[in-house]
Amino acid sequence: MGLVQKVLMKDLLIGLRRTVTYNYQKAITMQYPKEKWTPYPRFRGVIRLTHDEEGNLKCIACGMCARACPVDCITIKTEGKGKERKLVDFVIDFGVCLFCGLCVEACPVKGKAIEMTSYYEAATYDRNEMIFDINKLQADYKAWERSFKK
Amino acid sequence: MAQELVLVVIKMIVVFAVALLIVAYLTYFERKIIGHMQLRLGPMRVGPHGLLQPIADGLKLFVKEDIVPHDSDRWTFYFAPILNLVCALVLLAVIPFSYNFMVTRLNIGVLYVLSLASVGTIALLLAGWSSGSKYPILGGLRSAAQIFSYEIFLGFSIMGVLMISGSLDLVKIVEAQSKVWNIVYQPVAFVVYVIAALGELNRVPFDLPEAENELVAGFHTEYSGFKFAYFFLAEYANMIVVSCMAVILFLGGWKGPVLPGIVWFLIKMCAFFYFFIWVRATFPRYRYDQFMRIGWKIMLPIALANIVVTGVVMMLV
Repeated sequence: MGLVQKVLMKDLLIGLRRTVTYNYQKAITMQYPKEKWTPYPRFRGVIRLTHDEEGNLKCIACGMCARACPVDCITIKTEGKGKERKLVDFVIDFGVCLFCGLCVEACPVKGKAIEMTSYYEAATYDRNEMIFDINKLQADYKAWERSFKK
Repeated sequence: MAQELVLVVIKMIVVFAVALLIVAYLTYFERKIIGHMQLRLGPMRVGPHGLLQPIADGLKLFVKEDIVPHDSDRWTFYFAPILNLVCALVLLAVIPFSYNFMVTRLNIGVLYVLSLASVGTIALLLAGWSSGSKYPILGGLRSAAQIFSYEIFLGFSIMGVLMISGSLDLVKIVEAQSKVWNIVYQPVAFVVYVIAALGELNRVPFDLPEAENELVAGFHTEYSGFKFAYFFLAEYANMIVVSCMAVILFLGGWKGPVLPGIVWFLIKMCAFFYFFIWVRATFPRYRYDQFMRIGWKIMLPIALANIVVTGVVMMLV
């Protein structure tokens, strides 16, 4: 650096210019509870069970997802045998779940009987509340997303 | 006589109340501006845009436990923050905010400010000494060394202005700038003054006495609660004084078109506040030897040369 530049404190002025340009840019902070982040389309959030056109669960109680799960967080209870087999309860323990999405990939039903939603506000004060039963797994998470999406 | 006394008391109350309010909100603006310079928002939660944050901070400091370390020198430990704050606030007595608004007019105003500003440093040294632990004493000693080296060229940088205006009276100095501000005649002295002021204020990039990543918090490591708040208030009050002095000495004080004098004064003062915060958001701290080198080997010769050049030019013109 030349003497003239040193005397004029050029490097210091460059630094000052950098900070002042940032001062007039928009802050990237997100005021979380007030404004919420919209997840990307392939975001893997809380899992839910899907319905067909008549409003019944698509799930055929085959148990493929429970077998695919690397941490065994899916428990399926069934009734009857053979073609009579019916789904009684479908439990996912989100305290254990990895959100890896292997259960969704394993699902043999056309159009997938379970899917990953964008819901991410699943934190609770009690670990037992993270165990979702069949009713909780059918909640409409799209409504949550619509509530803040622009 | 009694009427005059009442008037002075009212002026004192107004000046100190406004000064303490400015001090409180300087902390807010400092956090806000530095936040935006780092693409953050700064305080946002207490009140709209965090406007009540200084009040919340003050309340928090007020209810905090008052800890006195076991090894400390108890009375000196209590005395140091009070001395520091008093020295900072007393300086405001001579600052002329406009032609007829000041607490008192001293004919040696510059001398008064310079001398009392360095008494404030003794408080830092006392705080460091009386805390009875190693980080505060290092901070206090650094503060003493810093004031030795920075007070000198701070004084020399002002000398050129004093030669032009021919007075130590702050009002006369401003009146001498009616046509042209001193910054036009003394640009080098202005730069030297601002750098010396940063050193005097113990602010980044010269905040060596409190260097948080070397000395924990320097001289106020052991202080908590309201005693810490005193140091904090004193630092910002000193910022007001230094900005006021810069405005009076170099930027023509209350002189300016259209708007009333006191508004011009406050606008210029706020520009300095912004500059100090801006500098804090930009630069890292200098190393101790670099800091001393800047003071003795660069700034002092420049200030002396400035005096010589000013003298020669004044003799010829």
